[in-house]
Amino acid sequence: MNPSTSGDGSEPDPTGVRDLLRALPGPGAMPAGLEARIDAALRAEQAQRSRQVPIAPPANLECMAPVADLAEHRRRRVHPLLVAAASVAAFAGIGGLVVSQVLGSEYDVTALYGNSAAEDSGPQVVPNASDEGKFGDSEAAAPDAAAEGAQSAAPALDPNANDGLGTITYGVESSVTVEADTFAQDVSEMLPVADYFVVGSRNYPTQTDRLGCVAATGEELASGEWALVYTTVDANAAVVVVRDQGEGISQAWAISEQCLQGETNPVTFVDRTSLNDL
Amino acid sequence: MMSSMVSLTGASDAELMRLHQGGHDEAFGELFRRHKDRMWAVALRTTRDPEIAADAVQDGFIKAFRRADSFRGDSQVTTWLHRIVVNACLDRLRKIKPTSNLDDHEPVETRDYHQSVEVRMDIRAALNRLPEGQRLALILVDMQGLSVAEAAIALDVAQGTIKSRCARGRSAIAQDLGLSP
Repeated sequence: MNPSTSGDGSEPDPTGVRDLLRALPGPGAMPAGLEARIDAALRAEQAQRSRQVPIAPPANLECMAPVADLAEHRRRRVHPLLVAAASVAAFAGIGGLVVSQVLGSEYDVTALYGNSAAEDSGPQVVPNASDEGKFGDSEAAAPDAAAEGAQSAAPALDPNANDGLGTITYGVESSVTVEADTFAQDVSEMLPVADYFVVGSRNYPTQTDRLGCVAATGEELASGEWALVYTTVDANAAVVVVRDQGEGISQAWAISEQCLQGETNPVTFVDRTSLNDL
Repeated sequence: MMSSMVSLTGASDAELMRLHQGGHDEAFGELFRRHKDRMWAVALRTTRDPEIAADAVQDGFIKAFRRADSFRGDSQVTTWLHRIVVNACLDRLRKIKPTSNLDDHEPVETRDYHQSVEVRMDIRAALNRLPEGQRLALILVDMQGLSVAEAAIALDVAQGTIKSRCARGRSAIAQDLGLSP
């Protein structure tokens, strides 16, 4: 671009400062070493992207595809949210903070992290055996799924409801209510960075999408500050919905990406790229 | 392969972005080669520190690579890249204390141009003394050659804000250098 023809070039410049600035010599070409470094980094990014086959959630994936619905996968691989819970468990052991949750008793972190972790703080993400087929032939329609999810998910927060919604409640050290993206950062720090990769070509969620994610948790929008984090859960595109309840407590839900439906309302969105930079 | 390279070289920035969004494995590399020097310049001018600028411009290109899906063609690719790189610079500056000064990196103007306006102080030093907003506006508009509209997009402010920042920045520099209208 030729500076002399761009922008406000027609504006008066009585002092000549604009011309002086334009006359300053530039820093020149990017140093070869830096160019090679960035080129290598971009090739690594491209290689990673090429290795990752875009994963489309099953067409009939039920809207509420919670952590607990991923039992089969979880049995083969440590779930990042369990890592998160375990991390917080360890943190709680030091700082006296509470990690709690969730449903049922069929599956808990004891098997993964040993008795001490479970005894100390007991973060348990539990699939319900009856939910094992939720990725099957359910006909839950996406547009209405959020509303349906809202109705069905609310009881899931009740440990006795046992309907398959996994929740992890974790504490943070500060008793001061912090911003929603702080909680997203908490989540990002606890989830492996490797889980933040691009899945297919996807635009940022709209406001409509965002509210749908909140609705899918079964909670009211006004019940806290919300943040969304794109991620993958056991190779399934997912959204982690984080609610700041104040008093240093937040909750996170891993929800199927197909829940990106709903109504308009502002919800903070934290994209995975910025999370990668944390 | 050669025909692919030829077609990429002739492709517009927007076409390259679309190719990248569609999974083309060389398109973004072409964008990088095409704009690396300008992004390096804006990073260096923004951070005034070669090491921070290097990290920031790398951050910016990586972020642009990953966030390509968010580019919807509402602005020029170069404007979008400027925005990402400037933000990466500001992020870096807020995290890292500068350890060196750009004064040693940018060559001093050697032409006789300044003598005619009796420059009493180095204009870069005067530029560096400006508030961040004014400095960034002048870097983008006067030094990087962006239009006011493009700079407004890059800095996520109104065009009027860019105009006023440029005017106030130029005025401050003129006063600093003892230049009279």
